[in-house]
Amino acid sequence: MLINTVVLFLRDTLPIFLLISVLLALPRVSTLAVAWRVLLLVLLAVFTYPQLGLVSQLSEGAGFEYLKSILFFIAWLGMCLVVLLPSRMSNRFSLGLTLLVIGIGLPNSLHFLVYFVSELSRNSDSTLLLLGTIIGLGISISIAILLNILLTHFVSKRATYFFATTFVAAQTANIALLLEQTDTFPSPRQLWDSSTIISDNSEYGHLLNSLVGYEATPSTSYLLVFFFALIVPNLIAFFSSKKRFSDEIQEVAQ
Amino acid sequence: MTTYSKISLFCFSALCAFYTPLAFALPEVVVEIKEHLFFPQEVIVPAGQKVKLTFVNFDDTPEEIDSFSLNREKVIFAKSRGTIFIGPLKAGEYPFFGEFHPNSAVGKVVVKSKEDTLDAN
Repeated sequence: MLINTVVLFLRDTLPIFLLISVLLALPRVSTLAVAWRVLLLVLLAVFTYPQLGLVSQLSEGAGFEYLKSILFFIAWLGMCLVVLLPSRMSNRFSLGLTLLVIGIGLPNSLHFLVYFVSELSRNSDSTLLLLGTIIGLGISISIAILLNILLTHFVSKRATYFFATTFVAAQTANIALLLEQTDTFPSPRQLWDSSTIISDNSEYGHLLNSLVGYEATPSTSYLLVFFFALIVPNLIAFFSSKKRFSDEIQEVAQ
Repeated sequence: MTTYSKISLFCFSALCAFYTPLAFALPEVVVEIKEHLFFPQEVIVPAGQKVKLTFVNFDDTPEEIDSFSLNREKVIFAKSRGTIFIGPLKAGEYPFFGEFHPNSAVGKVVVKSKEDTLDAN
């Protein structure tokens, strides 16, 4: 149970810690701004968890998948708002951050909550469960700190923004898997199989999946959603920075 | 009828034409979860065809179905059922397991050619 708890904690909550790490590496994002959004996320997760059984039975048992798809889409919208004129539209930037934390944090935290609460109620002795959670928490925080140091000290701001959009695109691409699973998307076509190089089941597979959306056997729709979710925010960032630059030149000229 | 209505009607008809035959023609396989075990543990499905896989959880605790080879992951809550669609797949074996009880809840989807599937059934 100890190892299983660590594995599930890492799989479900590592993206949340990576998101916090990436957000703190972005310019104009304070620790306080992220902290209260994480608090909001915890409250929302606690409030949503009791309704999950009911939600999952909606749409012929596909309710949870649709809920997660909507939340990932909300996160992607948040990323688009964050890269859109961040210095001037502070309200949009703030809303974007909130949508990002809720959109990525809620589906991932709910998954772990389902396991945690079920094991807590099933076993009288929950020492291993708590120990596994603490170990998982320690590993997640360590990886998040390393990523934050890398992003803040070793790469440019533009690269940090690009990594942030890649990370969010990776999370957004899960929509394709969820909708294929519920038969909302047409039959998936597997493009390649790289599981002999890096398996989805391996530690590297898990980490790369969380960071950049690595899939050993991706489908066409997965790649389409991933690249769409990656390209649009980067185009927005490009054109908004161009517009801001021309505005600043005009202001100087006046 | 306006151009907008005509386009909407065309799109709706195209979607219905695409999805309706698929929905009616899909074979369904039911897997039961009892005492954190899958029944049956081995599911035989035809190659090159989409299949509806329904999990019915009779336990008092939830289970999360996970399969790396099928790219599927779904939580089946206590005393409830859930469906995932898989395929079309090539012939072979595709293992799946219960994330919450990975030692006991283990199963696999065996994909066989149509002729072999008829023999198996």
